[in-house]
Amino acid sequence: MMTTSQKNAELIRQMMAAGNPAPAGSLRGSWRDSRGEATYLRIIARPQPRSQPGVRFPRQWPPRLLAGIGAATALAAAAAVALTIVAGRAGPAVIATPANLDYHLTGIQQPLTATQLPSARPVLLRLARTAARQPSPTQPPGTDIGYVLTKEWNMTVAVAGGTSSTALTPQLDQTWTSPDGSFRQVERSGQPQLIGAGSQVTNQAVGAAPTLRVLSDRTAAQFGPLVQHLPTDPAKLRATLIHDARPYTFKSHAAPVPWYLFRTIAGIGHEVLSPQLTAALWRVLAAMPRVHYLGTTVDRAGRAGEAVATDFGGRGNERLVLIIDPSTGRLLDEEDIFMTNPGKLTIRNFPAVIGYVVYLRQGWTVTMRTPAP
Amino acid sequence: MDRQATFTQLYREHYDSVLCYAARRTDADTARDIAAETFLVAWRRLAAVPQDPRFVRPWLYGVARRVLSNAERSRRRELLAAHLQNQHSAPDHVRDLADSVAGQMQLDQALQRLTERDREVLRLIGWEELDICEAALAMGCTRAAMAVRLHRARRRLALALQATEQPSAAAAVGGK
Repeated sequence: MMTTSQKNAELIRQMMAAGNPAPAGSLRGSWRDSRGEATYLRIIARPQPRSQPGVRFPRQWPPRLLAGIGAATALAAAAAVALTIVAGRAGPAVIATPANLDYHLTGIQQPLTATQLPSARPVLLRLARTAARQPSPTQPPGTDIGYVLTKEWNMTVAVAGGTSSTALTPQLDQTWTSPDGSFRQVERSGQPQLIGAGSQVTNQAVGAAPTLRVLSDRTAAQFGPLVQHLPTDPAKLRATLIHDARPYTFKSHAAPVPWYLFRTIAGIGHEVLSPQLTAALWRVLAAMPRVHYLGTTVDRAGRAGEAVATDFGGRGNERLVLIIDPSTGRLLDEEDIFMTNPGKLTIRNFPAVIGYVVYLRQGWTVTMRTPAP
Repeated sequence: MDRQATFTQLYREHYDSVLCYAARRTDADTARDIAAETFLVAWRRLAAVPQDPRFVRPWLYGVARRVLSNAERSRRRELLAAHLQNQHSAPDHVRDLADSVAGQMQLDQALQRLTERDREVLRLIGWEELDICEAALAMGCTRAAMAVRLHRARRRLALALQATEQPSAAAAVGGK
């Protein structure tokens, strides 16, 4: 039964519809036309207001969102914001970052620039063959919800009276994806690990209690392609991934195609990937230029891996690294690295790791509240 | 999600709606300016954007309404200044009229007989398709006040349509 107000509203809509100068949908897509894009870029170029003490500096991009949008510029700006004045006059604070992983190329001395690194093609084709030989993960009857467990890292910095404190806060994420595209992610922060002690004030600011945040969304397109719709033919897969990445990119931030592919692969790593799709992903990368082999490594979960990378070349000469299990072909880690200082980041040493994702577990479950075994 | 990511999501989800809001009230170029200014306000005051996704769009409309109001005040001052100087003033591009369909023109004429507040209530409900709560947020009043405003605006529109000789349309809005 409609209320009087609801009836009024419905009558008004019927009458006003004919005279609508801009009917619904008539300006769809304006946000990403040339004027919409220019407006967006002009706005985000404005300085951000000062952050509050102990502000968390999370990874700059949830992997399933914003692939490729002004990555280097956004990171530099956000890093500057993370240097927060708590009280008094602050001097420059040095941001501590996680240790770089060691990459080993047999017979070659590190570090190497992108032009000195070998192509990753042979390694990726080998990893693709390995992945294709793997049995499909068993999907128990009644389970159609994909589940992925990841460990990620974010940084907290507080500055006061010329001192600063930095803490690395581990974050454990559980991601559920259903066949209809609905999505639930639970982010749980662990205890901050103080890696740069300052004053009592700044230490307290970065040592905030663990937090829990639940994200959910019903729009599949907003979070990247659903893997069950992705073709396993490498040529078709490449075209699909590039097409699906397009809504999240702006022309003025045009980056090389391998960059978009790395971003998208890291994003869909939050869904359960079949061995066939995994193999196809590595074949897609194997056919791309500017994808280099960094060598063997041990990832942040202590697992042996093979590392491939691509460089953006923008401010900070940003590098994306994917670490792949040589025994199964599965994706283990993603690392984001500034090879050089993009601007005014007070990081002591470069290359500097500015974010990472460790893929710990994937499987199937029955509800969006139940982890997979 | 960090600040820029939050803003980007906001922009992607709502820019088109805010642009439509502005385009229904002013010319195309000004509508773009209104939308840009609205999102600049949102960028500066991101913490003030409602957490409930249902109320984000009405909040943005409220900002756009104030931005548009400021822009129109500035334009009226410019037109007045030009008039006082006996200069030929440029046409006041309030908004583009729809194609010459009789009902549309008469609706527009009827709306012009109403106060701006009545017009805004009718547009928010009729064109932006907000519900009472959302429209109340956009106009900065209580839900009860919005319900009263809607009732009165509907009656005044019916009377205005009668005055423009559109009896069938007046009946559709239940004019009494």
